[in-house]
Amino acid sequence: MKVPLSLKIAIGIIASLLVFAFILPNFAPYDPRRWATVPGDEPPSLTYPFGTTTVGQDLFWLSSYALRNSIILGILTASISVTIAFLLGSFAGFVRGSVSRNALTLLIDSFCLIPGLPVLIVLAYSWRKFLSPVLIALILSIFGWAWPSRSVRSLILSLRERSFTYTSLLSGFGMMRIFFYEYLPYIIRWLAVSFLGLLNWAIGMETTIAVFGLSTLEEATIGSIIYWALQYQSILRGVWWWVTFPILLLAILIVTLYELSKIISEFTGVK
Amino acid sequence: MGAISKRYKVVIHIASRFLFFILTVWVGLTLAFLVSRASPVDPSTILISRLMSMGGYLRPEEILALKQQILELYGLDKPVYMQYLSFIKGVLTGNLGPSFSFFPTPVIELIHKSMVWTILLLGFSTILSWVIGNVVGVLAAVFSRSKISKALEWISMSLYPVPYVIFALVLFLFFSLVIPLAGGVGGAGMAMQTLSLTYIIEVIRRLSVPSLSIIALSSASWFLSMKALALSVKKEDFVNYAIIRGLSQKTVTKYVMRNSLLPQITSLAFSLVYLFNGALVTEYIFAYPGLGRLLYNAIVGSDYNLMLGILSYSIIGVASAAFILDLIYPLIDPRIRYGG
Repeated sequence: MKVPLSLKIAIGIIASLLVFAFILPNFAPYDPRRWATVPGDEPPSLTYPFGTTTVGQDLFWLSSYALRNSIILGILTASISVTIAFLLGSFAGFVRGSVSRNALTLLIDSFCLIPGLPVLIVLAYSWRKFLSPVLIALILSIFGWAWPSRSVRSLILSLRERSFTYTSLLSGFGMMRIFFYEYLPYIIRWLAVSFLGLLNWAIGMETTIAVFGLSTLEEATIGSIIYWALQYQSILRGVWWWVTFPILLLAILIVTLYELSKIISEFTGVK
Repeated sequence: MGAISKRYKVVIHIASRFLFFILTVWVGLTLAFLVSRASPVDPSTILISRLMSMGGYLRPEEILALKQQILELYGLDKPVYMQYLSFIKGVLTGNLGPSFSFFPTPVIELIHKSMVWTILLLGFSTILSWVIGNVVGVLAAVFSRSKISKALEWISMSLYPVPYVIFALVLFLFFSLVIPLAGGVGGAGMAMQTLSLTYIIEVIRRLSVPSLSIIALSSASWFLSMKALALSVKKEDFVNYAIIRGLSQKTVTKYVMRNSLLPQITSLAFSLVYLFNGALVTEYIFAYPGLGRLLYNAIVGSDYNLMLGILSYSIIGVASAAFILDLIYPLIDPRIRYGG
């Protein structure tokens, strides 16, 4: 099998971002979140590759730390959402009782139609004293599962009618066993692609609520760096690097992840 | 199958869609209620601490009495199911209580004032981006070998995954630093309320940049899905037949367009959610006086009632828009039959 060049490039970019986010912070000479460790408002130079913030944080180390938190948050949200989507979507597509099937379909469709952002904002607001990357991931998962569940349900609906389902049922397989042993191999590639999509969605959503000032503002995430940069009027004061580098990192990460998911879906023939 | 049974099926279809609409709104409102009650913070404490921070001094027993009074005022001393019922009743009757930060203005009044702006922004940019994305998408699929088509696809592919908030921020910085349009953002002045030509021009001028941010991103996404749809329609036999029959390019394009447009209408209903979320962000970043701005003010002012009100209204608004689209759909797609 020939590996396309675009896949190599995408994996290369992702790998270097992962090194930047997960290996580099271990070598940070100081806790990058602490204020006044370096002189403030220094433009990008050899000593400070990304410059420094007004409150005296080295942006290079800070953003590597923040990228790690954002990726962890995204992976956590995506894992929870994909798991729920797989179980609930399979169940909604599999059950035959019209009441439970319709109720589940209604639940899934409603969550697709409820505007998530205001709900997330109210939730993040009321829990803002306890917010941590983990809690934000849990909050984001409230909406993350709905879209993939809808698709899993329609995928399972067609698998349900295939003869192997009846063979397994008549052989005495339980429902869970059919989901995991019979259906999962069919939809695992699709789940992988939607995992990447959810990862992107979660990182973007965290940035969105952070811009509203509702993320973990003490902990560094890409969103909270942007929030503080805006709060300190960085652009007006000409401290352009404070907001530029996080945005650039985020854009590179998200666009590459999207390309990767597209390449994977073309490569494996997932629709 | 007489005309009567057909009409009967139409009624059944509309009734079932309506039931679904009501249930969706109910699920949404219940979620909103749960979200507000699952809060670890007591709203009365916030209110009192806000009063205290404004310089008011209260003795401890006064604080307790005030707290009791606030709880009674907002019905928070009753059992949860009673609160739930009165919340639902409040949404139905349009009485969501007074706002905390704009006391004693009712929440509903504030929301109505801002909603007009949001609907204007959202309606304008949704329709425009849908039309642009679909028309350009079909043309790009029909002329899929041209360089422009490939360039457009490349641009949309790199724009589409960017989170809206990032795009809006970049656009905002661009229009405030690189091409400064003084006063080019935000809604038209509140002072000018008379409907004159200058007022309308001002509204459009200030609408332009915020809506541009929505239009650019969402037409990219419509473009991508339309192009993919139209490419698969283009391969179908009836299109080949039309080409062999020697029909003009224009007619063939029309055939492809009509047949690939249908799924796009269905996705419009679901994309409303994303557009609405986007509109909230737009309004906050561009200081546009709609629901998003109001929501931000509610956050800053710890205004619980207002937040819940906006939440309920957005759920009802988005669900109604989707319901209307659902009803219009059979008029556009002649293949749809009721009750199958």
